Amino acid sequence: MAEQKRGKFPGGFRFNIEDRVLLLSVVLIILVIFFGAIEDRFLTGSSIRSMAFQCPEIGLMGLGMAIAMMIDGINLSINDTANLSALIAGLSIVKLAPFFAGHEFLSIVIVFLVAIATGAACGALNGLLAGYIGAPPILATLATLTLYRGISVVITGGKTLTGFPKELSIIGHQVVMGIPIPFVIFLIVGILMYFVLEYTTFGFKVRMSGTNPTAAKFSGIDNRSIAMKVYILSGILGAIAGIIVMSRTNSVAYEYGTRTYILLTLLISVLGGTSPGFGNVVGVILATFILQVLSTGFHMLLLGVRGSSFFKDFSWGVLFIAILIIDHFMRREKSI
Amino acid sequence: MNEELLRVEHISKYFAGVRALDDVSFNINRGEVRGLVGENGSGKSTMIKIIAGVYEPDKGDIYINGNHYKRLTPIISIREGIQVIYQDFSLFPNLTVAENIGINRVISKGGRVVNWKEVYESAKEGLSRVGADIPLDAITGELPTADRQIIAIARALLEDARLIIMDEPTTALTQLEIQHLFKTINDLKKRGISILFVSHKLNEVKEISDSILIFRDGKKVLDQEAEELDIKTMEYYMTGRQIDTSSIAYSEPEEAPPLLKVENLTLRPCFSNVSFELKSREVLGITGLLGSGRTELALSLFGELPAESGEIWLEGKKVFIKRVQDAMEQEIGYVPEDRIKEGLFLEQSISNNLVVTIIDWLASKMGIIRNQTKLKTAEEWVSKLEIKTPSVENPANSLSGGNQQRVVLAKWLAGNPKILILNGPTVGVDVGSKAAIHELIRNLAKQGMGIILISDDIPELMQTCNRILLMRDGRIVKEFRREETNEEELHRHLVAAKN
Repeated sequence: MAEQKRGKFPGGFRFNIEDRVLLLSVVLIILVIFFGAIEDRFLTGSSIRSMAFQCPEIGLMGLGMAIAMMIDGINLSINDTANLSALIAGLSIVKLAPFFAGHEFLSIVIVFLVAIATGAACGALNGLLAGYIGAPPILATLATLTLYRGISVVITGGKTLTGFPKELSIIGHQVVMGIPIPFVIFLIVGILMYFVLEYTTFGFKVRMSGTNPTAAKFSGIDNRSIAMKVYILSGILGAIAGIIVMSRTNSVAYEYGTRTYILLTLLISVLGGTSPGFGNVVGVILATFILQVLSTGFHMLLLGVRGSSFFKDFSWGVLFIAILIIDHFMRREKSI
Repeated sequence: MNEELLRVEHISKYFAGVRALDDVSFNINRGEVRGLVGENGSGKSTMIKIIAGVYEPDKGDIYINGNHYKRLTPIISIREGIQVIYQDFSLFPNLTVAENIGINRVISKGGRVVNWKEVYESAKEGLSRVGADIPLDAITGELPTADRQIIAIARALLEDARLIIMDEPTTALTQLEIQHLFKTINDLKKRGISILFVSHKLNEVKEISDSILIFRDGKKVLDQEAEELDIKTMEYYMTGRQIDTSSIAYSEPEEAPPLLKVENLTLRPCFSNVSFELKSREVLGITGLLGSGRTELALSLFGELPAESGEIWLEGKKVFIKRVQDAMEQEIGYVPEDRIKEGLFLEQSISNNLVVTIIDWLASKMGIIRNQTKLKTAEEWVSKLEIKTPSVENPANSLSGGNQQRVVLAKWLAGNPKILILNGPTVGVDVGSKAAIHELIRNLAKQGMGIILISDDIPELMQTCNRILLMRDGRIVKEFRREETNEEELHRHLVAAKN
C-alpha cells in the first residue's frame, strides 16, 4: 500500500545522490567559513595549497574503496596496495638508475608503469579471491592486506626506501597554473572515474551487479568478471596514490598510513554516499575535502595544545557518527 | 456458532492525504473463514495492518470479543488472539522447528536461561494443535514451503489465536500442498478459530471461504456468501471490468521444423532424459509440482544450471549452452520465478531495469551509453506494456506487483528473443495484470516467438498454451493438447503426480 503511494507521488521527499552532494557541499562551506572566521591562517594561499597537496592520496584511495563498495565489496588492502606498488616502483627505479643515467624522465614513466602494474596485480588477486573463489570481500582483502604488507616488509627489510632521482619529486612538489600536481591528478582521475561509472556499460553493470547480483546474473551480467575489473581498478587507484605519496615524501615505507588510512578511506567512501549499487564520484571528492578541512583546521587551531593530534581523529569519528545518524533519519523520511 | 469475534465499523485510513481505506465495515464470526480479495493497492494490506495493530485508523471503531477500541497496538491485538501469518511466514530459517515454534512462549515468560525442555514441549504442543508431524530438530530453512507454513500456523496457535489472518498463503504452495492447507483450515474452523484468508487466487478463496469480502480502491464493494458467488462476478467486482476468457485467440504453432529441439537432456538428480520440441508461434506449458525438476530444466536451457548430457538444437543447429551469456547469444530469454530476488533491481530506476539485458547494444562500440537512446527505449517499453509510472526514472520498487512483473517481462522482450522461458510469470500478480500478461504471451507467440511457460496455475496454462507437458521426478510423464483436455483432467494429473 505504502509503495503505491510513493509511486503516485514522486515529488515526495526522496533521498538521492543529488541530495547527498548538496548536503556535503553545505557541510564543506560551513566548515570552511567556520575555520576561516576563527583562524586567520586558514584561508591563506599557502594553507589551501598545502591542503591540495595532502588530500589527493587519501581521496584516490577513497575512490578505490568506493568502487569496491559499489559492488557490495570492500578493499581493506588498498593502503598496502599503494605502499607495495610504490615500493616495487621505488626499488626498480633505484636498481635501474645506472641504465637511465641522463634519462631520468624516462625512468619516471617506468616508475608509473611498474607501480600501476603492481597495483593492478594486487587488485587482480583481490578480484580472484572475492569474485571467482567467492570469498567474503572483507576476509579476502584483510588477508591480502597482511600479505601485501608482509611482502613490503620482506623486500625492504622493514626500512624506509629513499634516494630517488629528483625528477620524481616534481609530481609531489610542483604546481601547474598554481594548482598542485597531485591535485590535478586527483581531479583528472575523478573526472575519468565519473565518466566510467556514469556513462559506460561497465559502470552500468557495476551498479546493477551491486544492487542485486542474482538478478544481474539472470540478466546476463558476469558478476565475477565485473568484480575482477572493479578490484583491478581499485588497485590501480591505490597505486596512483602510492606514487603521489612516494613523490611527495621522497620516500617509501611499508607502514605509511597504515594506522589510519583504511578507516579514512572507508569514511570518505561512506560519507560520499556510496552503497551497494550506488555511488557518486563528486560525493567522494567532496568528502575528501571535508576531511582535509577538518584535519587542517583543527591542526591550526590546536597547534601547541597537548594531545591536539588526537583531536583530528576525534573530529573524524564525530563526523562519521553524525553522517550515520543523518543517513538514518533521511532514510526513515524516505520510507514514510 | 454465530458469535461475533471481530467487527470493524466505518474504518478510514489516509496516507499523506491519499485515501487507503474509505468507510469500511465488516465482521468476522467465530469459526468463520472469511475470504478477502482485491487487486494490489485495494486496501487489503492496510486493513490487515490495522487489525494487527500496526497502523492506526484515522476514523472508525474496532470491536474484538466485545471490547471497543479506537485503535489497536500489536500487543493488544495479540492479547485479543489475533495472529497474522505474512507471506514469508516470518520464521528464522537457520533455527530448528522447535526453536521457531516454542521460543516465543519461553521468551515471553522472561528469565535469562533458556529451558530447552520447555521449548521442545511447547513446540510439540503447537504442532499437535495443527495435527502435523514435523521433526522438531529439522532446520526450518531446509523444509518445504508447506511445512514452514504449518510451523507458522503452529506458532500462531500457541499464542492462543482466535483469528488467524493469512496473507497470500498459497503463493508458494503446489496444488497438493494447498489441499493440505485447506484441510488444516477446516480443522481450525471446527475448533472455533476464525480465518481471514487474503489472496489473489479467486478460485481458492471461493473454495475455502464461507463468505467473501471484496475491496476495490479502498472501499468494500462486496460482502457475500461464497456459495452465491462465481469467479466471473468476483473478477468483475475486483477489477470493475469483465474479463472474458471464452473467446481467447490462441496462437497457432507454425507447421515447420521446430525452433528448439531438446534430446535426452539430463542433469542428475534434478531431471533426466528430457526430450521435447518447441515450434515457432507455440506456447508450450511445462507443469509439475515443486521438485519435479521443472525449474531446473528451465535454468538448464538458460545456461544457469548446465545439463550434464543431452543435446539442444536450435533451428536445426546443435548448440552448447554452458552459461547465461551463451543462452543470450542464442536469443533465449528467461523470466525468473522470483521477480524480487531474481528479476528486478528494486532500488534502481525503471529505465535501468528495462535496458539491463540490452545495454551493450544501446552503447557505442567503446562501451559508452547513449543516455537519450536508453531513455527512449525505456519509455517505449513502458508505453508498450502499459507500465503505470509517472517517470521511468522512478525506482522499480515504487511499482505495484503487476507492474513490476511487466518490467521483468519487458526487460527480456527488449532483446527480442526467439525463445522466451517464463517461470511462474503471474505469481502474486492481480487479476487485471494477469489477464494482460496472458494476452501478451499469446500475442508474442503470434508474432513468431517460441514460448515455454512453466506454471502450476492450471487456468493459466489452459488460457495460454498449445501443449502442456507434465513433469514428475525429473521426467516428462505426459503430454496434453489443450483442445483435448480440460482443467479438471490437468488438475487430477498434477496432484496425482505426487505419488
